[in-house]
Amino acid sequence: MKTTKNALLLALALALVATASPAAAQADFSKFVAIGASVDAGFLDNCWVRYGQVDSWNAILARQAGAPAFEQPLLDTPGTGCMYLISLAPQFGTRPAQVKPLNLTLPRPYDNLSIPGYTLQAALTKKGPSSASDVAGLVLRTLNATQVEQAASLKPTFVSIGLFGNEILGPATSGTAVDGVTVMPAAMYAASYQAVVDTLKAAQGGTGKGVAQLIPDITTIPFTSTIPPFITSGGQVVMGPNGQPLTFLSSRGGDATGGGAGVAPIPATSLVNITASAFLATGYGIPCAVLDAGGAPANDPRRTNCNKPLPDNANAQLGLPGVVLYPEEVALLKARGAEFNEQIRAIATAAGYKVFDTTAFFTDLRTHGREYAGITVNAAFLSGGLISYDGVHPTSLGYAVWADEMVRFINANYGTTIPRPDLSAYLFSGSSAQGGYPVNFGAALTTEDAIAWGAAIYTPEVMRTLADTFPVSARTAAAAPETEEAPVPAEPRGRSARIDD
Amino acid sequence: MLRGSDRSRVGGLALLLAISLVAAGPASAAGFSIFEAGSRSTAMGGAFVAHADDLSAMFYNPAGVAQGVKKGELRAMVGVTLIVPKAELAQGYDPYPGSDYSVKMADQFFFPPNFYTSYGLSDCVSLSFGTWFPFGLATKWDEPDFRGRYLSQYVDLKQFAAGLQLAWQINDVIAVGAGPEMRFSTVKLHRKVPLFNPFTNRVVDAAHADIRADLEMDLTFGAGIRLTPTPRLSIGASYHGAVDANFEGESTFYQLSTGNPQLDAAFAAKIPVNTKVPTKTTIQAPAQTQVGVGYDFGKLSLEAAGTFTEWSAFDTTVLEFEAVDGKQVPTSVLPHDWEDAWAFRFGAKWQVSEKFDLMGGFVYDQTPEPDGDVGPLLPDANRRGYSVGFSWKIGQKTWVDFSNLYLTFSERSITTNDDNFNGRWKNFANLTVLNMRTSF
Repeated sequence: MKTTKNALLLALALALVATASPAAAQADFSKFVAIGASVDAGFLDNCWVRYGQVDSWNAILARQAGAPAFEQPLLDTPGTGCMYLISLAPQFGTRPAQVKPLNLTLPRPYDNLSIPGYTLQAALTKKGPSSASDVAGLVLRTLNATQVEQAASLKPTFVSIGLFGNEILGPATSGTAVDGVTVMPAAMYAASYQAVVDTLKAAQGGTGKGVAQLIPDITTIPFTSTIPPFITSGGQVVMGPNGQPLTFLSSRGGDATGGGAGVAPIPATSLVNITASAFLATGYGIPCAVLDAGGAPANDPRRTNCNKPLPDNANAQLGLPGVVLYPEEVALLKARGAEFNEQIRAIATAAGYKVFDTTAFFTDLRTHGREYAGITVNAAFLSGGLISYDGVHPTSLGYAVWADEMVRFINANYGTTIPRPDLSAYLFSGSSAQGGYPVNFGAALTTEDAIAWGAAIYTPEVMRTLADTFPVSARTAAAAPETEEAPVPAEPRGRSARIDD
Repeated sequence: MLRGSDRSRVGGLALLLAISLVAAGPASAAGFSIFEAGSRSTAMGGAFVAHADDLSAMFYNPAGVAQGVKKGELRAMVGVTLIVPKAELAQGYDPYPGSDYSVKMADQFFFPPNFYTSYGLSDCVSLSFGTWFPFGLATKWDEPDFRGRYLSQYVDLKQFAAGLQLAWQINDVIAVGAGPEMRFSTVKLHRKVPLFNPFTNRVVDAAHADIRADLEMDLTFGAGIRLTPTPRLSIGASYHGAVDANFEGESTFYQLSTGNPQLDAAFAAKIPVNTKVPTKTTIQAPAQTQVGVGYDFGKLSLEAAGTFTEWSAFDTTVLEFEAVDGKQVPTSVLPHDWEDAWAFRFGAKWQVSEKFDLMGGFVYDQTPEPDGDVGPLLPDANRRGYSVGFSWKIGQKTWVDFSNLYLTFSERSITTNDDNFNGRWKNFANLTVLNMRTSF
C-alpha cells in the first residue's frame, strides 16, 4: 500500500514539475540587452536620431515587456544627417548633421548596443571608433570592450541578437557583388556568428535565452526593387524593335569613371537601385534614340548624358556609387544570403536562442502588408508607410510592426503574455516621440509630376512609372549632392556607403 | 388632377420621403432584423406567431388575420416604434485601435411606423394590406478622429415592406394566409479614405466617402398557417422570403486636404473626387421562419415561439465603383460570413378586465454575426430582452396598445476581427411601441 501511495505521490510530483516547466522557460526581461546593426538601433531616413531610436524595435519590445531602464545611446535632433522629403518626384533633402549625445556618460554599457553599419567582425573586434566620425564611438565609448563583450558584461537575462546583414547589404546597395571580394564566404560569416553566440551564451550561464534575426532578402527591399530595369516613357514601358521591353544601358564591371565590358542594355532580370535615379535624371542609361522617339525636347536634361552607361559598380576610392546588379550578382546575393541564414539558424538554435524568420517577415510586408481597420500599410517605397526614405530601413511604424511581430513570436516561443504594442501613435503621429515624427513640407511639385506619382499611389509599383523621368531631378542625398543645405563634415560618407544595416 | 406618370412620381417620392424621414432602427432583433411590428407582440417578447390576434399578424403570421373576420368589416391598426440604441467600444485592444481607446456611438433614435388594414371579404376570408419595417441598421460614430472611420462612420440601411395578403379560416382548426410583399430598400454608408502621407509619415484622411443608393424595389412573399386543435391551444408557423436588394446608387468622394498640395493632386489624379461615381452593391435580407405554440388558461395566455433567420445569406457586401474620367475606385469587399440564427421568445398575457390586458415577455436572440465581422458597421451580440405592455380599450371598437422592450446585449470581447479592429463592445437598446387598433 505504502509503495503504491509513494508511487502516486511521485507521479503527482512529476506531473507538477511537468506543469511548471513551461513557466520556467518564460522569458525574463529583467536584463534585456540588444546587439546588432542599424535596423536594431532604430536607424531611419539614413539617419541616427532620437525620434527614430525611441522606436527601435528593441526599444518598443523592452517597453512592452517591462524591461527596466533599457538604455540606448540617444542622439538628440537633428541627428546624423536625416533625409526629408521635398517632393514626390521624389526629391529629398538632408538636414545638417549635428551629433548631440544625450546620455554619453552612462556609467555602464548601454542595453541597446546596436551600431549602424556594424558587421559581425566589428562586433567582435572593435573596441572603439575607427575615426572621429565613426558612430561606434558613441556606443562603445571608453569602456575598452567590444559590442559583444559589453553585452556579455551586463549578464543579460534576455538577449536580442540583431540583424547582422551588412555583410551582404553593402554589396547590394553598392551594386558590386563579387564573390570572395565584396561578398564573404558563408564559412567566414558562420565563424564570426559562432563566436558572437558563444560569448553571449556563456554570459547567460551556458544556455542562450533570447531571439536572433535572419537576414531579409535584400534583392526585394525598396532600395533594390523600386526602379525596374526597363526604360519607360509616360508610364509606359518602351518596347524595342523585337517586341521586348528596352532596358537601361550599363557597362558590366565599369563604374562612374568608365571602364567595363562595353555599353549594352542590361539583362531584364537585373536590379537597378534607387541611387540610379540621380543618373537617370540626367540621361545615364537611356539611349538618345529613345528620347528622340519619345519627342523629348532639346533642353530635356536627359540629353546631357544619354547613351552613357549607368555605373555598374561602386568606386570605393572616389566614393562613387554603383547602381546595377547584374543577374549573376543577384543570384550570388540571394544564394549567399540564404547560406548565411542557414548558419544563423543552426548556430543560434543550437545555443538555445529562438530564431525569428525576418526574411519571411519582410517578404510578407512587401507582398501583403498589414491592415489596421481599413488602413493598409506595406513595404512599397514612400506610399507604403513601412520603409523610410532611404529605401532600406523601416519607418517608426515599420519598426513598431516588427516589434509587434516580435512580441507575438516571443509569446509563442516562451509562453509569455507580453502585451502587443498600440500602433495608433505610429499610424497617426509617425512616431511615439513627443510631437510625433518631425514634419517638413517640401517645395511645390509640378502638377504633372504629382499626377505621375498619383497614378500609382496605391500600388507597390508606385515608383515604377517614375523610373524614366525624375524630371525635377534627383535624390539630393544621392550621388550628386546638390543639397540646398550644406553637407555636414561629421557625415562625410556618400549615401550608398551610408546605407548600412 | 395628376396624370398617371405624375401620380406615380409623386407616389414614389412620398414613399421615399416616408422611408428616409422616419428611418429604421438599428437592428432591434439580432443582426439587422427588426422584430417589433406591433405593440402587443412586442409586449409578449415577440412570441406571437401562434396567437397572432391583431393585424400585425401580417408580419408574425398571415393566417392570424383571419381570426374574427366579418364580411364587410374594415379593420385598421397604426403605430410606431421608438428605438433608442446605445453602443460603445468600451475598450480597444492592441495593436489597433489601442488599449487606451474607447468610444461611444452617437446618440440616435428611430421611429419606424407600421400600418395595417384588413377587409372582410366573407366571414372567413380577409384581404389585408400592411406596411412595416422588417430590416434596418443604423450606426453612427461621429467623433472626427474615430479610429474605425476608414471602415464606417455612418451606415443607414432600411428595408420597408408593403404586403397584400389573403387570409382564410378554412374551418375551426385550420387557417392559412399568404401574399406578395414588396420590399423597398435604401442604404447609405459614410467613411473616410486613408492615405499615407510620406511627407509627415502619418496616415491622413484623403476623402470623405458618401456612398448611397435610393429605393431599390424587390418582390418576395409572406405566408403562414395557424392551427387550433382545441379552443385553448394554438399552433402557428410563418415564413417571409429572402430578398437580394441589388442597389444601383452613387458615391461621392469629397476630397479632404491632407495639408500637402502635391499629395492632394496625386490623390485626385487617382480617385475621381467631388463627382458622382456610379456604384453597385447587393444587400441580402434573409428569409425568416417563425414557429410557436400558445395556450389559454382562461384569463392567462402563454406563448412560446422560435424565430429562425437565414442569416447565412448575408455573406459578403461588394461595393463596385464605375470608372469616371479614367479613374477607378478599387472595389471594396466586406466579408460578413454570418450564420443562421435562432431567437427564442416567451410571452404571457393577463386579461385584467374586459377593457384591459397586461402583458410581459422575454426573448433570447442569438447573434448571427461571427467575431470576424464585429466592428463599427455593426457590433452585434447575443441579446436578452425583457418586455412589458398593456392594451386598453378606449372606445367601442378601439384599443390602444403600449409596450416597452429593454434589450440587453452580452458584452463581446473581440480579438479576431477581420479588419484588425479589436476590442470589447457593449450595447443595449430600448424600444417603445405604440399602436392603435380599430374597426369600422
